[in-house]
Amino acid sequence: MNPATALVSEQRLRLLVESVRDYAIFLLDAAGNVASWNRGAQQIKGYAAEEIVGRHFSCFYPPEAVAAGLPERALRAAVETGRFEEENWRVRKDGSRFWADVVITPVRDAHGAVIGFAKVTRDLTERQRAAEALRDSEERFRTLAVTANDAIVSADSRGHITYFNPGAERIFGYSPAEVNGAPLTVLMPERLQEAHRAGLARYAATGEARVVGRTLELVGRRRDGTEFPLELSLASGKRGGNFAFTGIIRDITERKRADETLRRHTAQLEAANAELDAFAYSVSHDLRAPLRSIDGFSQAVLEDYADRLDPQGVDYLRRVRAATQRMAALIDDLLNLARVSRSPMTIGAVDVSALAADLAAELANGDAARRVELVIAPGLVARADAGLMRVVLQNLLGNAWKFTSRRPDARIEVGCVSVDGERAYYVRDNGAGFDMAYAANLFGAFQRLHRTAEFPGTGVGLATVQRIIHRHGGRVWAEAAIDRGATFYFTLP
Amino acid sequence: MTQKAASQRMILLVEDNPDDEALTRRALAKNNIQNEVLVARDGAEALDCLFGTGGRAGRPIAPEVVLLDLKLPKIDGLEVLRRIRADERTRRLPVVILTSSREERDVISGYDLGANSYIRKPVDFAQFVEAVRQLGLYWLVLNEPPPPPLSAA
Repeated sequence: MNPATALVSEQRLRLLVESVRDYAIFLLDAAGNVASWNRGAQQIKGYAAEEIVGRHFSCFYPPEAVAAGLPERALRAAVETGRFEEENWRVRKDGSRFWADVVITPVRDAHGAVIGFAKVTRDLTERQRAAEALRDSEERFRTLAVTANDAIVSADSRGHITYFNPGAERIFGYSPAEVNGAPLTVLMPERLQEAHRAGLARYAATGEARVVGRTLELVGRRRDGTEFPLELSLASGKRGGNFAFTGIIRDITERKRADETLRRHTAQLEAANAELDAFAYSVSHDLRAPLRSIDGFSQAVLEDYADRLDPQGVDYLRRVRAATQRMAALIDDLLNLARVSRSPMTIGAVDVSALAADLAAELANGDAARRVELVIAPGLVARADAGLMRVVLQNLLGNAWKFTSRRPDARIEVGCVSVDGERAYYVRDNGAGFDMAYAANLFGAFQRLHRTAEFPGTGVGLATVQRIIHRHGGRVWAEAAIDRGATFYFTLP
Repeated sequence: MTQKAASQRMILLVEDNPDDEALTRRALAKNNIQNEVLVARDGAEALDCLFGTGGRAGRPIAPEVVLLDLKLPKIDGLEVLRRIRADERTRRLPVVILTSSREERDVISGYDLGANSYIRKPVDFAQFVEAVRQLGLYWLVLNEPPPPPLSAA
């Protein structure tokens, strides 16, 4: 090679080396001082050529590595073996560390004497970080797969098992060693195997996946041959040009059993409800008819044979009539009570203020002689079934109306207060009230705190109210004192 | 023609309970409602009366109003109503359901099938007499009945 050609070649090489950005490529003299610098070196280590040329290369090492004599050892190793390579921490100009791949090669003269070193350094920090992230991620998924209660089974494109987690061992009864490499069909009953093979073949041929990405209920077969219901979620991915599958399988035996129990109980409940329905219907139709006869013919006797009855006979027949009418009221109230339990609910916004005003007007119209002061808070809106809320207010207002009947200054109030952070609607009156000692009996069917002669009633109204409020998930309670009125509260969550 | 004229003011009471029948007759009498009352004691008999079949072959009646109970032997009241409305001869016939039930489904079915009115029999006889008075006044006096069918059936 003539000198001119050599010069051109050397220039080219220098240009090439200088322009490399991803590698620090530089020369050290025999003592280890930096003799040349390239762009990559500046990029990776942070020094400009004029700052670093002439300085000893140990400044690239962390202090503890310098103290341990690693720079000298590296040069010695390069000389002795012709090449030194390591992955280790290095330090940038700003003091920050990076994970570096370092290669040091000795440069010799024509006589074989070492005149310096060529050094190539690569920053592996990113690669290192990615590798660590991958390790972390794999570790996480491995932990997940190992601890999962569900079976996790992977298979290759031919449907041969490649992974079988402890959950799968538990559920299917096979050890991984027994089934690794075996076809997935060992986990299925005979009758499902053909469909599986066809599906696999179709997927391999066309990519048409009927089960991938969905959750389906199938039947699995354990090692001991027993079958069990399972839920399968299947994912597929390409691995090295081939399809691979991972399925998550859950044993749903217990759930199926619970479903079945629930279904049976629901059916029983429905049957009981239907029976109750038929019973209520029959009561509504048939129980009233004899009462009509008793009342009607008693009245007929009173009218047609009054001249042959003494006052006591007339009184007895009046009692018979009063009793039949009371029983008719009871039947109606009971049917209403049954109805509020059975009727479907439609929850919506109910204007309680308007409803109360409406019902109060009805009461006032039916009892024009009474003077009652009505105070209804405006703007009360509840979330409830409108029809049932009407029944609630009808009963509470009706009671308030009834139990204030002996007061000339009767007052009925409808409003809303906050009780333990909940909105409680209330109907308050200043009527007869009751002894709080008996408050526990208040909401039971047929429970009455007053004699019928004092205040008429069947004792079903508050039971009906309570049933409706409970159906809404709310609470109902009362506060009262004898002759000082009563307040009934209810909440609607 | 004379037969039809005679039956025009007639009331058909469809009622299987003899007590209720007696009480209804009493309530009508107390209100001075003199119209002839024909009683059918089950659904099939009611249809025979209206269509001139069975025991009343060839002798159909065209009552002013039908008072129809719902719970009846053989054919129930709602089915009787359905057949009345399905037949050309009786589709406009005033039918008042007079029953014990106040079950919502009965009321709804009754109106859906074309009942003209739905009355629940009160237990209190005084109230029942009043209901019958108003019924008679409305259906036998105030109400303009549909014209009789043109056919010679």
